[in-house]
Amino acid sequence: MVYYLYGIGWSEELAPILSDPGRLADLPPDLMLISAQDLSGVVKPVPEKDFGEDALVERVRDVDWLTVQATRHNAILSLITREATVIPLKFGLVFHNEENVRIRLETDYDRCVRQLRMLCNRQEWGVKVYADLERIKSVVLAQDTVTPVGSSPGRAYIMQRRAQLSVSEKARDLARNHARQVLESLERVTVRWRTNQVLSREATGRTDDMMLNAVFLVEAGTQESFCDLVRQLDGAIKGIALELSGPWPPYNFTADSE
Amino acid sequence: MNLDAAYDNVSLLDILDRIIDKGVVLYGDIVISLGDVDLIAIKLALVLASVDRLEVGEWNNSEDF
Repeated sequence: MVYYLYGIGWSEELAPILSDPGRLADLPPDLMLISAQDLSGVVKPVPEKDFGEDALVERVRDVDWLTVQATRHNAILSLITREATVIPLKFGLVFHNEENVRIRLETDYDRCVRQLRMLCNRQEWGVKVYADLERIKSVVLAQDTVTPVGSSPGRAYIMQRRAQLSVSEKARDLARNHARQVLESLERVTVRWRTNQVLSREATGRTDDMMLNAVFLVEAGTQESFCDLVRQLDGAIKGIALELSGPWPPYNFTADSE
Repeated sequence: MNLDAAYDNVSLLDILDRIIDKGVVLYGDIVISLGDVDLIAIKLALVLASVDRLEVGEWNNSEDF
């Protein structure tokens, strides 16, 4: 067996959660805490054949296996963050023995404490903004006055083509502006924010285009109003849709620069 | 919307993006180091597996925004 480390938190918060099986019933029964000073790592013994030195690098190439493991990693951290402040760690952090986990906690003690203090009572939410550019184009067209058409058919074609292009550009500009406005509105009610890679249609499986992929760190007390604001912004403008996800373990807000 | 309902929207890509790309860098005894290329390949494989399409997705950069 080797030891997979999911996250780090305060021992006094984590111990009661793990010692009471009824509290978070979906947690794996073999989840354990390894402690150093007042910190604890949330650890699960895992088979060496999957998580050992060379096995892991090979294993992650198996999409089905990775899907199961990634979902589990996130589910465990999500459950725990409902009841405790936790620093969520990256996928696939494995130690040979319990002592090495303890040494790691000691070594990174100051850094962990800083992050836990920053994350206290805060949760991560994701907001994606999608634009249906065809629909926005029709709005742009309705607003535009009719473009005068030239005399010759060739000239008429060029004019028409140019008009179409400018409508597409205008629609895209409009969509970008809306996305920016969403970001500005949400930024005002949150502690921190950042934007991530925008995903293609293949990735999202949607027919509209992702314009913004943002994450926000939200104070626990203001979560309801944050979600209300997202709902308000969703559907406020024709062709613009918002997608809310969360609360997440604060993966996006634990970098050392934070 | 209660919190559980909001959670239904979570896609696998969102999870992977977070747990592979983000999260604290801590050194373990065994660390998988997935370079950018590998990560994109994994994400793409997942996308293709889930929607059963053959086109290769274009991974835009948020700098466009």
